[in-house]
Amino acid sequence: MLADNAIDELPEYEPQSPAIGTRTSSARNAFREPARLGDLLVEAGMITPAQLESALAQQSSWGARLGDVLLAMGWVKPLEFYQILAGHFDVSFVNLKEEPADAALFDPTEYADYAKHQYLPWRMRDGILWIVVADPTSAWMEQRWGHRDDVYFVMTSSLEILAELQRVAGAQFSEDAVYYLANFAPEHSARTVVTTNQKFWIVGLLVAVTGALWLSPVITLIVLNSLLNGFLLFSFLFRLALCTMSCNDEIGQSVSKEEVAALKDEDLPIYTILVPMYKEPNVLPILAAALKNMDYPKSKLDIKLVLEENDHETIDAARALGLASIFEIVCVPDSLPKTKPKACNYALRLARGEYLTIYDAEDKPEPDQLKKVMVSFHRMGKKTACIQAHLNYFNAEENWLTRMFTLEYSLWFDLFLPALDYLRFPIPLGGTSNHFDLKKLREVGGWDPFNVTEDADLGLRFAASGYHVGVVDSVTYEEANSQGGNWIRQRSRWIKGYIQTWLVNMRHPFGLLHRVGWKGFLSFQLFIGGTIASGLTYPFIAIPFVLWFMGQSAALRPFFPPSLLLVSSINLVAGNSFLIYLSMLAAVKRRNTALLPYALTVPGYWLLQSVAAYKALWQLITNPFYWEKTTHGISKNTQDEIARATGTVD
Amino acid sequence: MASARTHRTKLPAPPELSIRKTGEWWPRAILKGFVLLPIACLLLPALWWWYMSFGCDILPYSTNRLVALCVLAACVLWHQHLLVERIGHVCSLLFAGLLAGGCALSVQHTHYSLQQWLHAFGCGLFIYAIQWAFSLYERQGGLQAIASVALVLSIGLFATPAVLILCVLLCLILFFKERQFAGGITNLLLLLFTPLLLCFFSLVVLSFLYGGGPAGLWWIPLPSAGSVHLQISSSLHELWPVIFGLATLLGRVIAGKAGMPDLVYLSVAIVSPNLRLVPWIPDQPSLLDLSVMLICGAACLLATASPLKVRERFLFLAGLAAAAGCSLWG
Repeated sequence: MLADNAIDELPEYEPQSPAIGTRTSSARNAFREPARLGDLLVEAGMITPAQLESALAQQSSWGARLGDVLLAMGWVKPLEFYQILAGHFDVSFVNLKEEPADAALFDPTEYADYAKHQYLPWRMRDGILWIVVADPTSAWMEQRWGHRDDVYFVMTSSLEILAELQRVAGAQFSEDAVYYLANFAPEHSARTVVTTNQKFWIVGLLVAVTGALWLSPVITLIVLNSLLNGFLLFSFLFRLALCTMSCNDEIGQSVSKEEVAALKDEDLPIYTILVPMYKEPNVLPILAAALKNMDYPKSKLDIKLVLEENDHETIDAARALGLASIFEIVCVPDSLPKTKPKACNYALRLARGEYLTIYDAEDKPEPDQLKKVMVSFHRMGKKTACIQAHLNYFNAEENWLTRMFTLEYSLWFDLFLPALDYLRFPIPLGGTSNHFDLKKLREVGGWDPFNVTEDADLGLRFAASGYHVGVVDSVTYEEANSQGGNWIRQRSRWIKGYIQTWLVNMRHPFGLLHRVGWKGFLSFQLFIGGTIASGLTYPFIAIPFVLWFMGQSAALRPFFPPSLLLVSSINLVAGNSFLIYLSMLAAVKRRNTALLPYALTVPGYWLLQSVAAYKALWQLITNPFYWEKTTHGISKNTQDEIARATGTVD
Repeated sequence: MASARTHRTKLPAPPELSIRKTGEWWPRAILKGFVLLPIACLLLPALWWWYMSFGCDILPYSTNRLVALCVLAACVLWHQHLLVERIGHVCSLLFAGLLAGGCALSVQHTHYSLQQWLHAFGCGLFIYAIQWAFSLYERQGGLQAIASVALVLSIGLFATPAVLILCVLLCLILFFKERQFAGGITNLLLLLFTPLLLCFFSLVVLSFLYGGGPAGLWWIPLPSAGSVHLQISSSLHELWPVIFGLATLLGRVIAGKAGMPDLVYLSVAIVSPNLRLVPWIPDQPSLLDLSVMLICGAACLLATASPLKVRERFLFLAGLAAAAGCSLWG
């Protein structure tokens, strides 16, 4: 455990606290008299009597400790508070920046416990193990160390502990964040884009098609066209069926206000919120205001701003806003691939909640979302690993693109996903506002850092692992892409990720069929496969029409016999018609009827999708893990939101 | 620890939804179709080859035989609908059996062409679907029902224009109150008629692409039964659809289940024969169209009348049996 030379280098420490067995009881007695701690803080001038009174009232309603309430409200500075607390418990306080922990004592198998229960092995001297803790009175500490006479405690702040853990284990966390899934379950990792078997099949198919084209080009094209059109037709019909099903108001997890009110704050678990950001300092106030408005006991929120260590502007902006005292700033070491899932995986190792969710920097979740999710988890049973909230946009009215994007999101989150949830088919998760049961998330290996739609992939991995993903009727409002180039970049990443996800899941198609059932398997093909296929084939289906309009329909006759032309044309004309209508339904379902007439322009939007699809395909071949960064904060509405939020934060 | 306590918080169980209410059968059916269609595509050439080689001697082709097979298949589907609507197995089987018998006997006496039958089936399918959509609207209202009506209206392209126009007018009247829900009258019109207009537009575009205009497409309604003029027949086998329709309507009135679908049914039954008075409406419904519409409409009324008490089941059964008996007697 501890190298001999390490012991020699350690300074002498006089034990200032006895072993936990005796210390815990006295500390707990002290804790049961909150007025004492409160008085100490008032005496020290850290809080006012009014703040103490307010915190005590909040304490009983949240079922939290006084210190946690004061920290969550931002009324005390963590380091100063823990110094007072240490004195209160008669335990030595250490500043880990000045007296760092001995890295040799760290046990990698216990990293998750260190983060969750906020302790670290600090020093070893004369057979005594010194542990630095944030809460020496917790039941877990007593259970873990209570029977040991050779264990002594010192105290520091929880943020210091997490910072020290990152200092010692950061490199390991970073390594795990990238390679854990690839090593733990390589069949689920997109690190290998196309497996040898898949290469064999692709080459085989190409050879077969080329051979067939050489032998009989017309028949081959007809057969290929028929297969593709048949597939797309069913994909459209499946979506239509899902939509009409979801138009029923009773489909989808609807959580009433009464159900939310029935939850007792004291019963609620700790909730980790990850906010991965990269070079987005300007939208920080929106997030800070939204998180401060969350209807959830603040002392039970474990909020982590996950930033890249070289993103100094965002780190500085977060500190300038005073967020460092309420939210934990997790700095992810610089490494490749530089993706959001990698950052989330890193932060996952520091999460201490029982549930975890992800928000983007500019997200505005509905305040009661976390509570609604709690009700949904309760309802849906133990096999539920994740609940997805609806996503929509706060800048829908900005321009045509944002309107179309809003219609698309309404279609996706208000109509498609609730039906998939009801039918218990695999659900590709959305980018944010997915709420995980942390234990199950860790069990499946977290996010795949090599997949650029790690969320969609994770939803399917849950399904393949026998877990269910649900949808709850709470909305998170985001900023819709208002610029064409930015939209294409974002969309090409999504489609590339979908292709990666499809390839990963189709490595063992029979295995997938066995795990998700034939209906789930077909749903995956029609929903995910259909999205990819429709984007890539749209130009090919549109070409006959373009040529027809140019007056060259006769030239197509050999390749498009009447029956095939019929199916192909139905896919283009009727397929677009259905998409138009589905978008109309989505507008009404979202109660945003002003967008209803814009649904008539959906075909133009799908043409853009096609452009993005080909960019995605090209990138998959040339640069599969490249993360096309979406720029946020460019919308005019976002600027207004920032101004409003800045007032709130101030 | 904390989550364990969360689970102790008593929350009400979510309501159980019936398959009839959610419409979940539809995506499931499409998934089944996705599997079965390729199999059928592979089997059809084999069946055709078998039929051409050996089957012609065993099953000589005739329009009536083919129509009877179609009727039988339709009755099987109706039986499935009755089951979804939670009408018991035995009762559903009896209903479907009687209807199949009545239709099959009736088909024997007819001498219509396949084209005329196809046209009539299109009308029947439309009436069945639109009444089902109206019953859905009456049962639960909301966006799902409105969308169902709007989507079903596009099936109206399979029916005669006269019937379609009639149903469009009925929709305008019955859904006018939903204009607030849709966000204004324009939005309501878009919501109700977009599928119909888009399908119509698609068909026109496709028919021109196909070459030769709309008449070139096999599914565009053709002036089918021009030679079959509407006349009141004295033959009972031609009157049995009327008897079936009246018996079903009466049954629904007695059972207190009459509503919007009955209104649509009555309107179609009364107005359609008189559409000849409006000469500018093309493609007037023939006697065959009317008969099939009456049968299909009544079948839908019966299916959507559930839940049925025992005496109500007997009532409907008696009506259907009487109608089928007329077909046999005639």
